Amino acid sequence: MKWQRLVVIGLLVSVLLGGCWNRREPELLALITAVGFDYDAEADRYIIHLAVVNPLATQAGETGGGAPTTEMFWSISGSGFTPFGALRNLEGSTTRELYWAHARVVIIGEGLARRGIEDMLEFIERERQFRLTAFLAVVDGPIARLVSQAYPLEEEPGEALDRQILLTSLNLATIPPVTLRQASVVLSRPGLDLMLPRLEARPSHSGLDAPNPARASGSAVFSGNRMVGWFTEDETRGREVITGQLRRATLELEMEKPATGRIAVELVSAKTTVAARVSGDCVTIDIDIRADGRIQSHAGGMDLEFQGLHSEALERQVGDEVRRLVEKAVNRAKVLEADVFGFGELIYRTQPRTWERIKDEWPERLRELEVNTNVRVTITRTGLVVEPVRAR
Amino acid sequence: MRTEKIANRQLLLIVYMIRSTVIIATLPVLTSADALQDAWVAAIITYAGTVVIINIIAGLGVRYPQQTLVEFAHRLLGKWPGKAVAMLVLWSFLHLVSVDIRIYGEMILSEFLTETPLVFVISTMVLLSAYAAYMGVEVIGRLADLFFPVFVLMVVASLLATTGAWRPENLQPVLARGLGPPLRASVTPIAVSAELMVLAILIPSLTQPREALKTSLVAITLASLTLVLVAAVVVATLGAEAGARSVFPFLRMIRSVGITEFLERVEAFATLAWGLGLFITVSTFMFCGARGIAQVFGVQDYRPLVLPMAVPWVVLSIHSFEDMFQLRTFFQPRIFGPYGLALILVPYGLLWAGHAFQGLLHPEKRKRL
Amino acid sequence: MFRWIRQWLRSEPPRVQEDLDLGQREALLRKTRLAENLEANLETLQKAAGNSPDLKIRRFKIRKTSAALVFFEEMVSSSTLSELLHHLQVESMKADHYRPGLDWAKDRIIDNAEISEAALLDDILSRLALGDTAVIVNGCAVALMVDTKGWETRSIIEPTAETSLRGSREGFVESLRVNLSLVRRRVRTPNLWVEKYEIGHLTRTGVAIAFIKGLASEELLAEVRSRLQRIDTDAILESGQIEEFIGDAPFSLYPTVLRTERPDRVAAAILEGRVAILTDGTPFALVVPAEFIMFLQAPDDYYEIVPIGVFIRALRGLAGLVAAFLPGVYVAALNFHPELLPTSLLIRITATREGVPFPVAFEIFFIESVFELLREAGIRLPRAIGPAISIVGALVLGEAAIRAGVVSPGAVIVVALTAIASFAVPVFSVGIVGRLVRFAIIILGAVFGLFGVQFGLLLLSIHVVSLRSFGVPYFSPLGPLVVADLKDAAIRVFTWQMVRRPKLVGAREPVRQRPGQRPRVGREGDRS
Repeated sequence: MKWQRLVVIGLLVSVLLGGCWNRREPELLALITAVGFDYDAEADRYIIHLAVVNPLATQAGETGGGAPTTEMFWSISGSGFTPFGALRNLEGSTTRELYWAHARVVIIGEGLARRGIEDMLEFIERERQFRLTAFLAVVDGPIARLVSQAYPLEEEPGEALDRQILLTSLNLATIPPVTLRQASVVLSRPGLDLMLPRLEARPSHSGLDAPNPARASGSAVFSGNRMVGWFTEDETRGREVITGQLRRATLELEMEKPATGRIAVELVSAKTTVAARVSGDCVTIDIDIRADGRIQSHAGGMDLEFQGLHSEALERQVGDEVRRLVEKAVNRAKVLEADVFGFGELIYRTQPRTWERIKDEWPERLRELEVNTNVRVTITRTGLVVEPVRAR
Repeated sequence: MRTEKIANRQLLLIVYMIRSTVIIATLPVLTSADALQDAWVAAIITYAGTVVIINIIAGLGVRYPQQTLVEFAHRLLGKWPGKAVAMLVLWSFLHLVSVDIRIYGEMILSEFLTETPLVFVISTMVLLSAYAAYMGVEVIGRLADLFFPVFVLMVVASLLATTGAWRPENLQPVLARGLGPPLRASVTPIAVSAELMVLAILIPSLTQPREALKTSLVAITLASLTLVLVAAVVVATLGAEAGARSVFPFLRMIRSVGITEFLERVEAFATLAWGLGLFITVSTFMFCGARGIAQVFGVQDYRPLVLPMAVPWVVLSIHSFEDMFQLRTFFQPRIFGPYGLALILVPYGLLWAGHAFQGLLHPEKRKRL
Repeated sequence: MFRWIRQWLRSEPPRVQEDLDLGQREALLRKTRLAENLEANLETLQKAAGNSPDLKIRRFKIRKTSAALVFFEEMVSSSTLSELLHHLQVESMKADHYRPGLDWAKDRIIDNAEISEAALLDDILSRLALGDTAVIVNGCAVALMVDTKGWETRSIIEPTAETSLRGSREGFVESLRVNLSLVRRRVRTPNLWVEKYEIGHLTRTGVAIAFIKGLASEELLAEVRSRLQRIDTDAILESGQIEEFIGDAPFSLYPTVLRTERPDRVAAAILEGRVAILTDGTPFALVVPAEFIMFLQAPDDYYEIVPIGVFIRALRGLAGLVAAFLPGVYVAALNFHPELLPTSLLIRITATREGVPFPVAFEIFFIESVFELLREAGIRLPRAIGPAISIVGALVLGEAAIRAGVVSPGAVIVVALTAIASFAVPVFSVGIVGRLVRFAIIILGAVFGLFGVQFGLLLLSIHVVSLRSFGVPYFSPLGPLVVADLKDAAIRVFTWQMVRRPKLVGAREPVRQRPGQRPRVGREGDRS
């Protein structure tokens, strides 16, 4: 009994003496939902842009009944010698403690991306508050636009960009969704280069026809730590096909024979196998793609029976289109000397000894890479109609 | 007073939790520069090594099922050498577990309560464990029964939550640099199994002490399975290089995945599992330590010793390392390997020698046991 | 001192003094015997009872001898009394067996259950207090005590503190005899044994233990007997007092004795090999040994179909956890781990907390206290006003506090949820512990965050796991794990699957029914 009392007293004492070191009241936190990092080359300083949620506005919308008197979020920016310094310097101009754990996107200015993102990622990994599930993206244009303009359907930029990246990559496959965790995995793997979504920053205005400040399109390609160039939407899709990450992608094409007309095919479930052959100095990559497609629209009102020859012809044509995307991506990557497909990693994984031999000259090898693409597309479904509408 | 007994099942759970907790805590050693993506191979090697060590420890224990290490050391080696060997073993309890507590404290401090003084986290844990140790081995056994499902649930849930983020490519190439690196990486985890010397004190408290070797082998097998799984999943999720970079890879793995949009950052629950495991570990060691000391000095009841023992425990765990750098250096294979192995092999070498010698001297005595 | 009293008593003729202290009075009563003279006896009795008006004396004649019936009003049944009177007078007329004195009457009074003789004042008065009637005859220094119990009791109604949807509607009442009959009506085996004790030297409360001979272990019985016999007190008014005397862990928050108002629960318990302790004057029976898990079980679990039984039991377990931990976790999560909450939820909570003058921990603590206050007020108030309090508390106070911005809706939701959860715990004595624990957890959570909550959990676990109730580990079958008993712990299996009794209490006769009684259509071999 005496013992139990001692323990209880001990706990009480530690509580009373201890006080509450880490206690923070939630309303004294400024919740950051979107973070932008940039680099100012002239001043040699890191720039940080934040979108902070304004809870007062949420409350006004709920209880007041009228229009919110304040904006839903607040955007601030600051600079520093290190990324962390930039963050801390901001505390002087805020009234609440900046809180990072709810940041859902991290966007990077092109300037910083071209200089190298290692510093920034290192800081994020070290900082305990960051959510490693946040999406990363590179901004083409002034970064401040993305965090200081209103998004028509959303409350604040973090949520808006998060949803936009997810939606675009899911439905169009024109951007590669990359989380902080994936980025740090990719950066440290040998023979694999990073590719981040490209967000185009556009000027916006208020009103019913206000455009979304961001357009997700294409991707930024890194070689190692530095960004080396952009991929277009087509090239990005080609890369997504090669890496097998494509979920859904719409291909629009003009059918030539036997029937003509514009046709939209949605690719679903592309399965890709990649194999590498190294003989001497020559590296050959064999890409074998099997994809299923679905006809989504067939304008032109031509007489079409999707059987036999017709569908085979269509399948072949879609296959050619996919091959075109893949080849575009590979050719562009060769120019940029960025192995965003992980061909090098493939060799490292399957033939580690060969990799040891060629890893130093991999960029040159990449340029002379021989890529064989084999595509097989099956059109499995035609939607709800058999034949197009025929006007008389 | 009634002699307290624990079921062999409870010993199994205790050993499992001790081992798994240590593993989660020392995982960086496995994945660090040496083994990289072959961490799971290192885990399998660790299993093999631990089986040998368990046979050394429990093998001698089951030959003296009614006696603790202190008692049979006394009998095998004589009064003073026996006491010296026992003290060496007891020292290893104190030191190894104080390191465990320190790692836990560092984890809490760097992941959660960044401004809380270390001494509060550590002393609260030690005080709680001392309370459990004071209540006796039966209570510890029951707590193991109670916490085991929670512990396993947390570990399994943590592993399952990451399924969406697995990148099996991270596990390749397998054994690209031969067996050397994983062998080096497994030195520390094998040496950590010096902690299993608690078995030498616990065996007489078992309901079926003669089955102790089997029980602990099952426990070690389960724990090693956990270790292999955790190592593989961490590498698949974080990548070998990023895994090796982080201080607490297991936690980092959990915080880097979201189960749904509404369930992210659940590492606090994983640390709960860690806390439960550590609590069982520390209370078991405090019990064994106090009991061992009581027997070395011929005191009847170990209970009055528990609270005084908590003090050196806290002190040692705070003052043996100045910072994280020292702590991590300590776990380097070239430092911890010889130290941990010496902690097992020196006393047990002597004890087995004594056992063999006694067998030669009095063959008839051995038959009676 | 005592010697002096004794000498003084010896020197004086026996008479009841008015200025004596209780101990002296009792000693005196134990010494005083009836005299031969009826009138003197009646006077002594009246004086000993302080001329209490409810002590009634009915004089009559047996042939020529004057006699009297002495009894306490309303403790006796008037019909029995008149029958007794009738007997005495009619039988005495039959000349052949009449002799002066009372011996003849003993064999003749047949309608009444218990008849005995008493000469000491103390004996007579205490029997009177049990509802007996004393027959005193002139010239006879002995009184005949006849059992004429027949006081008003509350009728058997539905238990109020432990209701259930299905199952018996009978609850215990205040009468020990009725309560014993309620148990025996359910367990008709002759092996249901009852032992009676009298505890409390002023109240002389009847206490009975009921058990199944041959099923309840002898060590347990011996332990129960010795703990009951060890009690030396002046008064037992309620079984709660016995509970305090015999409980294993007096300093623990957790009850190690189960209290119940339901005869079916007591029956189920003694059928498992437990011992029930029934106390006169209270509808609450005690059951020992009591494991923690029993406090989370309700009769409905067994009377409903299995899936529902499992579901409500799981729900109740969850409710128990929520009731103890939710406010603490809420405080810890908001103050220390805001990253745990989904972003939009955190924004909403933050928004509603704007302008609230108190820290989260204080806010929760405050609302919890107000809620406890309301609950206590609601119980004590007359039934008609009770609901009014909850209306004032819940609607007016809560709504006004939120409107005024003194507390945030989030905190009110949490407290309300906790309160609802705590009502789902079926046994009050454990529910009330959850309330106490909750405050401690709030404090720990406010200081150490979730780690504080974890420390609280650990401390609590060590404590409950170290408890025993009459030799049975309190937290079994979870800690220590008793795999066989899990069938009736977190889940419950079909009745025909519960082949064995709980391992730790029913070990003496482990099998309760024939295994393999899963219902089948038709008899075996019937199908072709």
